Amino acid sequence: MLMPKRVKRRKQQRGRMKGKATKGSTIVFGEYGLKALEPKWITNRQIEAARIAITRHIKRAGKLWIRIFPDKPVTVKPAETRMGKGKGAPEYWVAVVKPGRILFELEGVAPEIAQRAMTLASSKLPLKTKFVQRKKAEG
Amino acid sequence: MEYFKLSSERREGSGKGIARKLRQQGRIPAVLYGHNQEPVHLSLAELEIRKVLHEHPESAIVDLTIDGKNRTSCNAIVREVQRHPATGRLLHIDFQRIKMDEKVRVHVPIVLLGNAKGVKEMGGILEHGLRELNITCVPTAIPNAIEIDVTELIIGDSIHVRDIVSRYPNFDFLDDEDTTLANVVPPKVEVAPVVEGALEEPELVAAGKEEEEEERAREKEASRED
Repeated sequence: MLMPKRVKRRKQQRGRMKGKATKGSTIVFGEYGLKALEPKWITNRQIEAARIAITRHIKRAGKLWIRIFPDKPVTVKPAETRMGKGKGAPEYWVAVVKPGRILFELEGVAPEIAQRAMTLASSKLPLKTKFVQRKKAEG
Repeated sequence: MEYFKLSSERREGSGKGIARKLRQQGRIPAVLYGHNQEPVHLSLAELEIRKVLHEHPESAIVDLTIDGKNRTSCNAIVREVQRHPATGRLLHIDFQRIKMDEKVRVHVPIVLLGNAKGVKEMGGILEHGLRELNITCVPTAIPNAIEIDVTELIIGDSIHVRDIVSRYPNFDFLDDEDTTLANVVPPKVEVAPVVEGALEEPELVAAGKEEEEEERAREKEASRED
């Protein structure tokens, strides 16, 4: 599952998810993409589930890019613990996603297959998304 | 070369407040600049510009008419289109004045034609390198797209910028000649996902290591106290 190899600090503050995605909001590598329409944290398990859903549907025919990376640790305090005594232990990793962010990109498959694969991936994610396509150039 | 007409109005004032009001009225703020003349602030009908951008490539030449006190017109190209990151709605457009006998720098999309042998017969994957080529040429010679035939490509083959330069003697290619435009790669074998139990912790960068170790020790003590 995706997580950083090295970090400077084990724990982070939660932060806020104000505004829209200013970077990573256009299709750069592939032909089709899945765009986030809401701000949300996406865990590394959700990213992995979506990736598996896409690769199984396209039957390894095309090429997939994951445009988000879970680099934020989330800590959780143990159950039935009194408040205080410091911050909990790191439990999982999340990617901070703002509206407009491209989550996945796909290339080398038919548009119908790409759309279905992205719909399957979207059902594994905790936010609203839309299928987007690069503008076609006509020769 | 594609060519289309567009009418615009001179707009008074600039800034986000005025731009937002224009967008509410169904108009898109734009600017026209270039050729050592003062930039002109414009506004365009959103429906018209959306239709035009959908039908024509962005490298098309625009015959831009500016209404207002003095009605003028000039040739321009679309230099930048800003869109809303989530909805994709048009936010702003930059036009650059051009002279029909002077070379301009444009991005031209690449279109791969045909089904590569390496994909059809050998199950490979056709990869795009570049999606657009950066060229300079006179405006009348701007192509809608640069077409590349990939039918003969087998797994391991690739097409570079240097392979197509000779086909277009009127263009100056600004991209590196060794840049790959398309290649066919073997299919990827999916790696079985690793099933993990407890969360592995990443290595700490040396600078923060001592501090982190102290913190962990403090945490352990705190848990013992509980």
